[in-house]
Amino acid sequence: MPYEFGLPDLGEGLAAGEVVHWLVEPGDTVTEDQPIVEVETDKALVEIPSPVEGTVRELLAEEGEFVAVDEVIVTFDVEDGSPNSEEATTDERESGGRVIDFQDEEVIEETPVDPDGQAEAEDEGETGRRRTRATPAARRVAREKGVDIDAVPLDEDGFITPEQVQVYAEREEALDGANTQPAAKEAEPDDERIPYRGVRRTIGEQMQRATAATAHVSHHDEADVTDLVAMRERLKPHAAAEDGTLTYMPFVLKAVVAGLKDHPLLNSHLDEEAEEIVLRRVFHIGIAVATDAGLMVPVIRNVDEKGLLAIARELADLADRARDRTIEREEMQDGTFTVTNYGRIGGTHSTPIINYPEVAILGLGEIAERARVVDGDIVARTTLPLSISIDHRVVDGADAARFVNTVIEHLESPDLLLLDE
Amino acid sequence: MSAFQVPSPDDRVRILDESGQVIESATVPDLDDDSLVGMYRDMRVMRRFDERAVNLQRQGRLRTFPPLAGQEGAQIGSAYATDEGDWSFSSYREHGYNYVRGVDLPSILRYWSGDERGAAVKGTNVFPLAIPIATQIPHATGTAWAAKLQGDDVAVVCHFGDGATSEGDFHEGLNFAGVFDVPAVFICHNNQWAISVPRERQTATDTLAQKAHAYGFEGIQVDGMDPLAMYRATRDAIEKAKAEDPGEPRPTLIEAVQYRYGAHTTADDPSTYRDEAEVEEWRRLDPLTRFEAFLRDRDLLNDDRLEEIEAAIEKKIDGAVGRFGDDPEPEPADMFEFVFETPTEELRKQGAYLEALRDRYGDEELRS
Repeated sequence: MPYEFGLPDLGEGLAAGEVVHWLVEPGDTVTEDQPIVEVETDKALVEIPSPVEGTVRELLAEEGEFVAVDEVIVTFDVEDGSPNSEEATTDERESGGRVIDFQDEEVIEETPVDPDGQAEAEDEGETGRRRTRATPAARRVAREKGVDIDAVPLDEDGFITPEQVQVYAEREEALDGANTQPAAKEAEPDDERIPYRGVRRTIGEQMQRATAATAHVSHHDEADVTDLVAMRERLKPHAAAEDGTLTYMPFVLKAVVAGLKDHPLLNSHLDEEAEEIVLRRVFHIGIAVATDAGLMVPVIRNVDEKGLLAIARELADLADRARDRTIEREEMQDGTFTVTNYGRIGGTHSTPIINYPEVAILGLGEIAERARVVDGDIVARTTLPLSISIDHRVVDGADAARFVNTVIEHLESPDLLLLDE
Repeated sequence: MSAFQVPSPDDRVRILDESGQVIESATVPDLDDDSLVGMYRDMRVMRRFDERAVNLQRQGRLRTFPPLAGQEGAQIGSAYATDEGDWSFSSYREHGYNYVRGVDLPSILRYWSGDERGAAVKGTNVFPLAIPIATQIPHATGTAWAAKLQGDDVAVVCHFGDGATSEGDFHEGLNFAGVFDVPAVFICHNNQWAISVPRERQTATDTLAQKAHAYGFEGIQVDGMDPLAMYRATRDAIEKAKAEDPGEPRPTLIEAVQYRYGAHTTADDPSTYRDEAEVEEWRRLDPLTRFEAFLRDRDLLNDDRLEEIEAAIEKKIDGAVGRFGDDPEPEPADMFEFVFETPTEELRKQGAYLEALRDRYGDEELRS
């Protein structure tokens, strides 16, 4: 039966810690007190020793992940499932002739019971009422505002602060003004609180960094992909014969590479320290993938050197592994440009956030039949809405528009892809 | 040394030098061989216990723990000098002193796991330990005064740290001790750091011992990492405290100069305020190493004996940890039980209120 080890409160009253480094792996045998993991709290970086002797079964927190106190971070397979050394206890108790004559240790007496029943509640009146835990400052505010302190909602810890009294008093006043009836007590909102950590927090921090560090501008356009749709239909059976599934994405990636070759500024990043714009000579394109844990961006390397089917296969594999979280960190690094396909779910245009420190990201809307004007007539055409966001520090709007034009050109006349070197 | 001289480091009471040799001018206290070996063994018990307790905290089985490593000499030395009937008060770090005086190891673990049954130290003359800084000092002075008024032949030993000397309670307690000439021995464990406050930021005086001067009694500095020096200083102070007519004021302030190797508590990270090189410097004075050398010189210790001692300690501490682990869950009412012989009115009310809450909401609800 596995022994579950929850993160202890390593300080006094800490709520969480960050798993910095695991010192063991699943399958490792550990002895009691052997260091197993380094955890950093607000107060210190500490090594946690194993609570048991046994085999590490599963590590349940990733390095870099913030874990709440009591959350299980590792499980062990142990012989008896008990963290205590029963043998030692028995030995100590039974050993009559000890080598060293220790002082006798009194075994603790049973907890004395209350013989006179003194613990009986003596003032019933007190106990029936809620005892509000409020600071003197909060009570003063309550008196000043004429608020019944017992009516003020408690905070999570069961306390009342002066600010809460203030807020309550103002709300009561507003309600009184709007309605002469005595204000009905509002129900406490039954909010669900989701921990902001792990992948979610990493995404959040990356998004915040990207928007804070760059000058974001978006540009929108649309490609008529009617011919591309037809071409893909023709190629599909061939791909299937090769055991591949040909989506639109490889075509888009090829068109993107054509655009990047013509407009290298979009395949760059800004080296702020050196005050240089670094034009990348490689075409490593990230594709945003939605997973249960959140957004991940696996990178297909050297897209320019790969065929459509190879790209399709690689993408399917990376996406699968991103979803089951077996993808390696390196497979999500070193991208030079990113594509995000929210159109899978629906929608036309968006303002995608750049995958910083890249300088541009292309968003794909839903491929659908839309009314277009062709030679003066409104006709139904299959179109693909495109949204690009750029870092205006490096890329100007005109560059973005020209880049998108090249991409559109290749999507509208996919035979051009054949000409690309 | 006269009572009213300011002690300087040269006046520091020392018996063993850095390598464990007896200093030329010093005489070894008159302790039998068993006691000498016993002192060593108990220091070692505490060194090992300390490591285990820190691990237990990291494993979530203790809520917090103040390690004592480096301070075994001052604690065990002074404990061996205390007579059985004497009373003692301590802060939170004197596990070693209290252990020698009869507080068992499982109780210490219980206390730091938040189980108040660990504060039940019946059958010993050890008061429950004081977490707030210096609050135990007036208690100790009061107890010593009471003993004097009742004509009891006991001394009261009171432990505190260097940080406590900046508290009002320190002044009040020592001042009263001087005024009423009570049989008290104040041991200040100057381990150089009050959490992150270094000794030189604690006071502008040269020594902490010299503060006794202001209260009209003797203050001495002792090498707190020399268990024999601590024994000698404490023994002399206790004898003076209990003498029929000491011919000088009864109280003594002993400044035990030493070092805390580890963190203030398991919630502290000393690397943020002190240099590891400083720790290494003090480790050269390690009380265990020096005392071991002394005992080997006298043929009281050899490798075989040491192995026996180590094995026994390991077993003893395993046993203590096991027994602590076997404890049944404490009852919530326990938290009111173990400080006062008869609960005060206020405590009774609080206990009753807690029971009423439990009846009304149930333990599950209260825990969440």
